[in-house]
Amino acid sequence: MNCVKMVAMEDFMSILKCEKICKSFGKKEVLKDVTFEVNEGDILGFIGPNGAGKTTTIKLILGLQKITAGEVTINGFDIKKDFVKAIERVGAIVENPDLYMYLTGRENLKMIARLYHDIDAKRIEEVIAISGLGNRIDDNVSKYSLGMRQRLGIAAALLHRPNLLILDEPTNGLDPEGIRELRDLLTKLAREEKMGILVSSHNLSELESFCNQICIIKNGMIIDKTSLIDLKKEVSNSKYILELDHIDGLKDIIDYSYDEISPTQISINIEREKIPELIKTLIANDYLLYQIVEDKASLEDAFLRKTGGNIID
Amino acid sequence: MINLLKNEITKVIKKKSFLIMVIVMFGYALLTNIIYLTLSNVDEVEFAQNVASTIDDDNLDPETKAYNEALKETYDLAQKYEKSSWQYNYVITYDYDNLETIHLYEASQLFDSKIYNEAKEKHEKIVSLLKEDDWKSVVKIEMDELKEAFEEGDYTKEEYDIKLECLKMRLDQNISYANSYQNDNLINYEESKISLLGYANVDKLDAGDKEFYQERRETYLTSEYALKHNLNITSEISLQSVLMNFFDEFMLMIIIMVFMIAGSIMSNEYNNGTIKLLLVRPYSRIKILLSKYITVLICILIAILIMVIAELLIGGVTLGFSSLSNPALYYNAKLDTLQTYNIFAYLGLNIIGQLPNLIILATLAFAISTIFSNTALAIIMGFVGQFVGSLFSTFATSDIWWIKYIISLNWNWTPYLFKSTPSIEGMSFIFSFVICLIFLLAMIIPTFLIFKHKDIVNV
Repeated sequence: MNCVKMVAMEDFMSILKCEKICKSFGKKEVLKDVTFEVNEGDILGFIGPNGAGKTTTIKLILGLQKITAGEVTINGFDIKKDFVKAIERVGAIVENPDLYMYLTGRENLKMIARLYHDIDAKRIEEVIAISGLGNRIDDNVSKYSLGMRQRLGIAAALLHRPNLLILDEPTNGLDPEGIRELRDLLTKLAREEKMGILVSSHNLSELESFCNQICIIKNGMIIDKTSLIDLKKEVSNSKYILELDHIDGLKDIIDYSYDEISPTQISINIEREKIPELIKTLIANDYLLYQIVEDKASLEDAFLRKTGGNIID
Repeated sequence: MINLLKNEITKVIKKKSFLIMVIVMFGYALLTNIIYLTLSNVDEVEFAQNVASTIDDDNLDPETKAYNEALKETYDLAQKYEKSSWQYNYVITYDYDNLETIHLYEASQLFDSKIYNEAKEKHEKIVSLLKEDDWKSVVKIEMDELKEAFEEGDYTKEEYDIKLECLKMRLDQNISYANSYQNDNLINYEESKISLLGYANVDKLDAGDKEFYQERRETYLTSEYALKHNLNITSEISLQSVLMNFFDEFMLMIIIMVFMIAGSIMSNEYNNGTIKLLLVRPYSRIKILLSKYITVLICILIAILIMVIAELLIGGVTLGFSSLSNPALYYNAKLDTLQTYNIFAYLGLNIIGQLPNLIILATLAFAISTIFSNTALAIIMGFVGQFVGSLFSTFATSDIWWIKYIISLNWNWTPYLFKSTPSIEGMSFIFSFVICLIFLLAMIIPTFLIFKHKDIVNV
């Protein structure tokens, strides 16, 4: 509770505030006291397993569904009472990049442009460049792949220069190159245009590379809100993989337990802070160290530990 | 709001189904006009068929035999002339009577009777006039005969006057017996005028008789006007007459197009998920729905316009444009007068008169589309509405007190626009307007309220 009050004092930089929002369909409660906020320059990863309530939360924020209890404030405007003003500077993709299939990419953008008063032809060209669709922009959307639609959807969401961008599962259908481009784009928007970004996903490792905040939701409740660094710290007793020229006699010089993966690789349980010490020891004993990497599965494990056993009911 | 409207219209027009529907409308107009054109080329076969059906059989009684022979002789005589000639038409419609008399009397061996001799004499005269191609002399013979018949008391003074007037008109306006619209006008005029003599006290007629009376008045007034202005109104196949019956011919096509748009405009957005794209714009839901509803109303006009253009173009090419200069005649049963309109003014009044019908059914389809997000259901319910509505208007009688509150009896405003009688007594324009408005609001208000509070669930 104290925390909420403190945030209220820093109102000037808060773009999206969700306060104790609840949603029930009939007697079934699908969201319970969801509270979080997105500030200028934040990229908040909204993570949870399927059916946890990610899309419902986003729909409540966007006014697509009625909030049973609680408040959503965007740029200081209540979404229930001041819908038009609240939604004016929001760009969003919900579930899928839904576009008019029988129109071309450009026609889709033009239709959206008409609904805001300050979008000129130049801006449309700008977002076409962002989408990277090139000449294909004049093809019917029905001919696009899911990845291309995702790119166009993001371009369309950026068209009216929003300061809050809400992307629901934007990595769906994107290839690794596309994900990298999306990451670069979002970090650039957050850094240069001070945009607040909310990105949802069920896949932590995809978001890991570009979120600075993580919010984990399970069974309609927020179970953890933390920065990514903290989350990593939390799982820092996890595993690291070492690649050496050989592993003979390793048992005699290190105190940590490890598993042999191959004649040159071991998986070791070690705290992050202890790694430099380990490296020194290895070098002192004439081992050639090729690489040391954090075992990615461990972050995923931590996430699964937190969210595991989500019951979809 | 204007921009929302622009987007909605773009979405409707750019859809493939819209283009297909326009093609279907043109195709339908083409088919209709080709059928008319084919019908107008069908020859009058009735008479020839009559002749063909007479069988030579010795067992027949003498009277039937005489009839058959009269028919055959008439046919043989007519066959000497072109079918479009006055001779042909005169022989089969008038001279047949003479031949019938001759054969009947011959069969009964009554060669001395006056009637037989007269008929024979007249027939011979006519045969020679047919050869000389002199129909005006035939008219004069008819006049003489008419006078004789009147003097012998076969006709009343009024009947005689009318018949004489018509024969004089043949000479004055140069209307031969050949099959032409003026000939038809004249015959209609004569027949309707004589039949009207039978109605002495019009106010005391019961409902059924009054309908007959009004039909005859209509024939009389229109044929009189057509004769005077040399108008072709009896021939059913002209661009003008098709346009006059525009909604009888093309209502179905217009309704299909309107239902297709009204029934899908909202449910398509739900089904494709684009509703989410639409609702996160800085417009209230009411405005978004209103823009869609206005689009539906505009599309009604577009559908009518496309159908009119299709018929004008295709009907013009197949049936010719010339009939468009003829005035459209409307018999006003209430005032018992003939009203004349420019064909486009007439069509315009009909379109305005049909608009409430189209608007109410389109609103029904739109409401179902919005509330249930089911295109098929919306379109089907639209057709059910139209079907049930027309059932009610067909069987409506003023015996049932509540019948005038049925919407389908109120949604056609054409009678009011032509200042004529409504379908049920006691109804007025204000009454129909209020009933239509109540039905409309009863559909629109819940639709808007439901949409305003609707949760957009997963698709």
